[in-house]
Amino acid sequence: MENQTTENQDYQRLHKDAKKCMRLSTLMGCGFFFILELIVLFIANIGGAPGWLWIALGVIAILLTAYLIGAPKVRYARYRYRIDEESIRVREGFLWINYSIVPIERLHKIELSQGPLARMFGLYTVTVTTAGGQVSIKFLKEEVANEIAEHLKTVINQMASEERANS
Amino acid sequence: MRMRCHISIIFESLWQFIAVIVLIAIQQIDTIVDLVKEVGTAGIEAALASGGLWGLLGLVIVLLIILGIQFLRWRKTWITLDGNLIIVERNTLRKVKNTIAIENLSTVNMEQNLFERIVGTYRIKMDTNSSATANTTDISIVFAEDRAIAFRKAVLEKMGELKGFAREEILSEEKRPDQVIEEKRKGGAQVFHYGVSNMLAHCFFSMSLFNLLIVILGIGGFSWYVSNFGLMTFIREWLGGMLVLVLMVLGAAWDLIKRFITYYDFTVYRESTDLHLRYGLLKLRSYTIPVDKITCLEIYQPVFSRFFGRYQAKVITVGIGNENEESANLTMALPKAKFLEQLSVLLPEYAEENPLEGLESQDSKALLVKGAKLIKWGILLGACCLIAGKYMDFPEIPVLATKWLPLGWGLCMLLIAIMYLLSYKTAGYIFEEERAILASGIFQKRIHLCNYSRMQNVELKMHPLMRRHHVVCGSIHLLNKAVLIPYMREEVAEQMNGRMIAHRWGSK
Repeated sequence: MENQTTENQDYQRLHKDAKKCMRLSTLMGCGFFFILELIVLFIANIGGAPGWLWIALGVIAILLTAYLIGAPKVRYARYRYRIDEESIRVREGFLWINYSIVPIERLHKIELSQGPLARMFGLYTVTVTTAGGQVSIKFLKEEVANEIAEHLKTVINQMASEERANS
Repeated sequence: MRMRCHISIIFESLWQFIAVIVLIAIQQIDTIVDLVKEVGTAGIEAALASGGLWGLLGLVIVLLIILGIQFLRWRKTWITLDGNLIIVERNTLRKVKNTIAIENLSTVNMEQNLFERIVGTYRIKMDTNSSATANTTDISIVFAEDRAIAFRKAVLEKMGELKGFAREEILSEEKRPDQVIEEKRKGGAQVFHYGVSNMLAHCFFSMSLFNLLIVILGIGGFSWYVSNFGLMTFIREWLGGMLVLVLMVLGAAWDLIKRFITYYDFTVYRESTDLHLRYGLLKLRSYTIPVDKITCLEIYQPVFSRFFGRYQAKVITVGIGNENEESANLTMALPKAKFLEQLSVLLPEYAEENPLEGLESQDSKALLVKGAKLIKWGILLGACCLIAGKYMDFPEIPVLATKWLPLGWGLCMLLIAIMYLLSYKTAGYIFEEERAILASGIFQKRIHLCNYSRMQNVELKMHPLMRRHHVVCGSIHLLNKAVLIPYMREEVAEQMNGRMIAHRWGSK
């Protein structure tokens, strides 16, 4: 990987709507755990909750709140992708950064999809599949997603034609 | 050539069901004998009126229906070898037609289990180079011996034609795989065969430390107890535990014996661009693996092999490894010199440079990362011990909290530290012109030789501490396997990525 400055210059960032979508999906995830905590508190209160339970639930609530506030910002700031003539690279994550590299020549399938949350913000996911697995570029605006899919198809067709010409 | 499978496939596919029927019949043998007597004395009507015969009739009818369905399925399934295509079509209620191009086949294998040996048939299994069906067999058909040999010969010849070279006669019409191997040996070809003593050595050097410990502790513990307290006391006090113990020890011991039975009479040779393997005592397996369909070579050292300096290799290819005991071993456990010699004959493409030497160790920053993980485990286990000591009541063991828990914590931490240290010493990598060689493991060691052209995509990851020190780890995704990437500097990982991108799929 290039140094931090060069790497960011070569990579694309997501549209700002992606941050809103990330925030909403994080809110839904954290909301589920908040509800779980309330249920535990309700059940515990019936018999009298011990001190350690209050402390544990309090710590979890603080961590969830911090995650809800911080995670979407950090994930959005970190999410990068780069598509050139030879490869697709995607970098994303919160605590753990995942970095996926796919040679374009290995692609078997290109898929465009849109989940229910992403639909609210007009965002799409481009998923590329190789014989060894798949890699997704998420939270793309429709025109960007279509552009990427068309570009990849063109490059693959070009490679296939070159290979036929050489053989 | 348009053919059906051998009719014995009906009974083979239903053997579990038939076995259950037979077991029920044996269990109910008294009832059946009484029924037969009743029919003999009082007649069928009386037996029906008493109700005893209905159950038996019901079972027979169910069996006949199932056999009938299987018979219809067999009758309406056709296999055709049409030029460069293999077509398998089934015209039952749900019509299915699979058409596979021979050039896409990665393996053509023959197997023969005990039933097939009695009946005189072989099972042919063929797999394509597809990740979608990497975990299942694409085509599995059963033919009589002569037809199976002829069919496999035809497919292999066609594969050779499509690759553009004239293939020597691999299998004649009348010879079985073991007869061919004997001919090859007499003809001066380099055929590697492992006799009983080699197999026993292989079993010893391949056995799992965990299984050996269970067998030793189980038998040793049992002997000690019986010698001190007697067998009757053992059965009275430990009846439930004894059954578990017996099952554990038998399971571990069976694992040791299973390897011998699975790889019995292991034979391997190379012919042109194909590798031919044959092994098995109860289930005979005969594999043909085109070298260009190999995705990765794995050199493997279990614990005892590592201690005694032995190595074994297997090829990773689509189509082998779907089932238990299915493995494309190239060698059994061999000393280093012999191993390299055999590898250079069977797979010279992978033995140009000694793959066992020259591996670079992981970056020293990896030790920092593992140290941080050790601290994390220390805190987690310490918290568990504190909670256990405070809230668990063990009046009969008053020293639990003050002595045994801290001792247990200390032992766990020592074990984890040893494991991290071993994994650091074991891991390594080297990036050659055409391939990456990656080593990993803790007690066992695995070295993977992956050509860049076979890599599909790479996933790297780093947590905050790794990011700070510019260290990554991750995995390389092949067609049917993911190979671990040990800790390395970011720029080193990028070298590997660049070579993967530069090497086209299917090139060397």
